[in-house]
Amino acid sequence: MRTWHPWSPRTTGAVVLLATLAVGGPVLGITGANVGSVPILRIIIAALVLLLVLLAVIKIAATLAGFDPDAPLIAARLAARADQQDLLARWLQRTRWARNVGGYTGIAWWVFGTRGQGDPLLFGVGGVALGSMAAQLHQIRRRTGPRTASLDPRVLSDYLPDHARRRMIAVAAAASIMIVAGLAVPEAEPSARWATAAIAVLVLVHAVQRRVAARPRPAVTIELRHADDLARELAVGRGLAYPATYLSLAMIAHGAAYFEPSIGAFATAVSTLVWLYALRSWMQNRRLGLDYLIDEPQPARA
Amino acid sequence: MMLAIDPSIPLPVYEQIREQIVRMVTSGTLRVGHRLPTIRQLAIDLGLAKGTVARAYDLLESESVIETKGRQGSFVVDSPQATPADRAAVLTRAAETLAVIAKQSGADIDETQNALTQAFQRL
Repeated sequence: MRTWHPWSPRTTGAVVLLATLAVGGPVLGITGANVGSVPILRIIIAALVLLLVLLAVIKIAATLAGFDPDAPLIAARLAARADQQDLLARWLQRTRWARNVGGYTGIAWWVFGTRGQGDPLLFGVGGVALGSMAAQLHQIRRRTGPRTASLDPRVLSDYLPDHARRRMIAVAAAASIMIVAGLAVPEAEPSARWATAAIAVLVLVHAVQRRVAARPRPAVTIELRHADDLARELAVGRGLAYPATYLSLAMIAHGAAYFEPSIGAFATAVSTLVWLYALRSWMQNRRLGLDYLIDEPQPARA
Repeated sequence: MMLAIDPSIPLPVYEQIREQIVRMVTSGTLRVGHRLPTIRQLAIDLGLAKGTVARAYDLLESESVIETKGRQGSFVVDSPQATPADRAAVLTRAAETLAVIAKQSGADIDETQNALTQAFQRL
């Protein structure tokens, strides 16, 4: 099975070393500057902290380097044939890598760019959503020689699962109601801006979903066509609709908080519940939410 | 059902598309009512300009091989079916071309048949 790697092992090693020095150096500086004069307990704690930092850095660096050993296992549960598994594993590795990079970039921006101001969920989910969209812009390189194409039409409704479509519509409806309510209540005017942003996210993601349905596919065997269809279905649903829905919900949660002067604690409760739901869903979906398949017997969908 | 175009051969690309769709419709491989991909999708899949595919569709429509129903798309319409003799003639012409290329390349009949079988299985 071919594997997909965005970085070379040498680049990964350099990133791990630099990140460890950058993060671990200050930790040692704070806790163990004068080793001869500090108790042994402080040295042990410092060593443990450094070890944890090193493990965290290695995990993040490995993820950013595209190390995703679960992807072939998940692909093996999604499809029966080796060529189908190859296609799906590469798609999973590429997609999950882009989502991780987006998510980490969002959180890093929140930490270093805003000094912890604002909502980390918005930055995290926003990064995942952007990463998801970037991943789906990938196109297969065209080979030279005769070009082939299937004569079967592909449309978005073939790929977008009903439940994902219903959720997107429901969130868009909730955001529309919030725009109207926000414009009607003068002190809650910022909520209309949050709701407009939520709808803009859904519209943008819908455009990318249409692009996924229409992206090129040469004429291939029926088995590879099924695997490609499954990759498109996962991209349109779990890959795009889910993070867009959660990002929009997080925005709606922020907007709902502006109604507190008008409707009191109810607004806060709604805002908190929606925010918690978005957070839980993000945690489930951040790796596409397919890890449960690893422990399942072989269902072979494609 | 698939289309294959080769920009390196002297026949214009829109004509290659038209010819292949006509062949599939008259042989019954593409049935009446079959919805064809949109011009945009076919152009993307084949790496062509939309105008090239649109020209092929226009020709097919003028020959009453397909009809376009607004935003619903383009559909195959009832056309005179090819007889078994027509199909045999098409296959003979294609086989002769393949045989010439195989002989020029130094391939024997087994090697040529293997290549043909594999090409068939890939589609």
